[in-house]
Amino acid sequence: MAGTAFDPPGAGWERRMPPDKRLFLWVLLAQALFLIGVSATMLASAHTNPVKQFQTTPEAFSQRVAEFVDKYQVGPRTVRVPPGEDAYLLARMWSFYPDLILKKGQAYTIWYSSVDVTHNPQIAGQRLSFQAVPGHAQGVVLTPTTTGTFLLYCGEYCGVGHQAMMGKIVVED
Amino acid sequence: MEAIYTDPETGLRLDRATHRLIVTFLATAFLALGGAALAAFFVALTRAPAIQLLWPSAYYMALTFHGILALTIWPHVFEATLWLWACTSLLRTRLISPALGWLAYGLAVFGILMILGTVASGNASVMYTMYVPLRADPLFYLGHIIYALGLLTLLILFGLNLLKARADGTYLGSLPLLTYGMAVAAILTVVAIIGAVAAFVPTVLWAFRILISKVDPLYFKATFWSMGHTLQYTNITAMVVAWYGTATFTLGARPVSEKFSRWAFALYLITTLPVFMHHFLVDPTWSHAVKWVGATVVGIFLGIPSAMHGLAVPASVEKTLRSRGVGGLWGWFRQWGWNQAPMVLLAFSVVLFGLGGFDGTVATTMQLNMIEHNNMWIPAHIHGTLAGGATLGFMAFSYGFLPHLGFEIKGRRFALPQAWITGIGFALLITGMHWGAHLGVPRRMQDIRFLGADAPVPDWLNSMNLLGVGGVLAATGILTFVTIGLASVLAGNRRRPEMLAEATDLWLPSERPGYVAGQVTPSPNTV
Repeated sequence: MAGTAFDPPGAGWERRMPPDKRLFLWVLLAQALFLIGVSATMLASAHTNPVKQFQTTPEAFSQRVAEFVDKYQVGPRTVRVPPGEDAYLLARMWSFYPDLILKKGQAYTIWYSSVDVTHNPQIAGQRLSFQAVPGHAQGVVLTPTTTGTFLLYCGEYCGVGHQAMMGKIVVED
Repeated sequence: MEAIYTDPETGLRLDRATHRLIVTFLATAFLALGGAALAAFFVALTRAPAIQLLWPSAYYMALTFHGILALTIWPHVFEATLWLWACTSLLRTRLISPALGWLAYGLAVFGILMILGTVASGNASVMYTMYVPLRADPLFYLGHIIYALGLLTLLILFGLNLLKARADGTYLGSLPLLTYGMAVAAILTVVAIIGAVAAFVPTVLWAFRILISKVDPLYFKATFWSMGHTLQYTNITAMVVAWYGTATFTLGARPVSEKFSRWAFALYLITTLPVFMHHFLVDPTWSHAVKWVGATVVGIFLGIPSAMHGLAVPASVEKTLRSRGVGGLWGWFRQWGWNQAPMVLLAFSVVLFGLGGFDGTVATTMQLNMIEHNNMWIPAHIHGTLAGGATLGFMAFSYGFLPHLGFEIKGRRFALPQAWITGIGFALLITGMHWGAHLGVPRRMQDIRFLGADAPVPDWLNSMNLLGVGGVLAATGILTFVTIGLASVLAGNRRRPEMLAEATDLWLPSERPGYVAGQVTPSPNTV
């Protein structure tokens, strides 16, 4: 089996690669640089959700959410967020609190955090995914463009009630 | 005097002590793969909404079993056989200490039993990823540490054996390509074990409530993935070794360029180092700039070594077939060996791995990660690279490796259907996952109808039913493979050992000039 991958290579293996292999390496390098260029251009042209964050504790964040709910509450667990105000969303085993009512066409920052384990609020059919991590708050800027009621569910496994962890966002005109 | 096995096909020799160790690891790996496939049945049938077999707690337990058996246990135990074989038989030497190998096996199995036992008790349904502060039984984390110690012991044995072979001069020049690949895999695993120590030592103390009352979730995630994703590159490196090995066992193929292949292996060492950063693209940490450089730029370069191997292995098959008179532009493709199980599996492995790797590059791209994170895109990536890629590659290799070790393949007529069913099953499974990802279906979700939802629920059912069909086919194929593999091993070794006394009897002096000059070797059996 001399010359196969089961044997030490024959003498002279360390000489320059054949030209076709070198060409393939250049092609690979070129596609990598092209992809990096595409991603960098997209990033520079600000088509990416700007993300903000701050350090917190579960207690401090719960406190903020409670104040936010007190201020703008319109139902048992529903909050109408005035345009220009930040919204707060508390993730915990196993619900998102509160339900948010947003106005179409307005930019909102929604702050996520968790009081227990890591959760991942996802909006059904909208494919936007950011983590809610205990001790860390994350602010996602989004502008609703469609009116309707949207299901919020958890994308990060968080225990036996994971599939029942839900919330709601309503977008009004 | 010592019993030595010689494989007449390759002329490679193996002493009985090493042989026994390799076969034990191999059978254990097959058992783990069977367990993963069995759990996969339940997972697939639950995720298919037409059946939705399991209730939540049972589903999450089955998924934890599936992830841990398929990612933590099966590939690394299989790689243990590759490490042992690459540092003995391929280097024409014996193990420096079989006892150290058995210690590694004992530790690994003890750790595995602790992990599986705690999951079975229901106190550790925390998934493969086990993100703290999800809390599992402390023994679950301790089991991971003991298992890692077992692997580390084996790697120490591997390293010592390389040094011994070099010192004894049992091979001249450079390492054989497969040993070189497994050495790269060994280095990656040691790097990963450093991450494992950083992740699991604080976590086990936290779980036992000793000294540490809190482990930061982002710290755990970073250290966990600096272990976890690096280990996936161990699997991929070993998969590539299995690709070259399969082409050699089946066709006697030669690498088209040793230098090209070695460069590709060595590049894994550089491109995989910051691999954990991919997992933080949508986490509350670091700035966009750091995330983009650490994950996206590096992620794009990660694909290069794999693409090099993806060219080199089919090219070596093509070149071998052409040298045997297969003509035409696509003659090599028609004559690939579509009626031979290992070649079918090799083809599926290369293609599915390529697809999975593409998914990985998508997932590491910052803008795309924001929409694909934690939906079915991620399982599609994993099942392309590690199930479709590594597992099929290891299965292809096993069809050559078992006869090489002296075992007759039992139930040979089931091998070809097994290869096609597994390959097509994974292709369907991955198609269903991509379709689901496109719709936004979350991963690891027991109920995608969201019973009790207070808002409209999207209709995702067809994509996930397709996933169910693919999953059941793939699991059936793998269970067939496990049955064939275990039956072959249990039927016993057909080969009679020779009793040889010399310390250097594993290599033949007459071979040596051949290796150096790259000339045709005289038959190894003529001393």
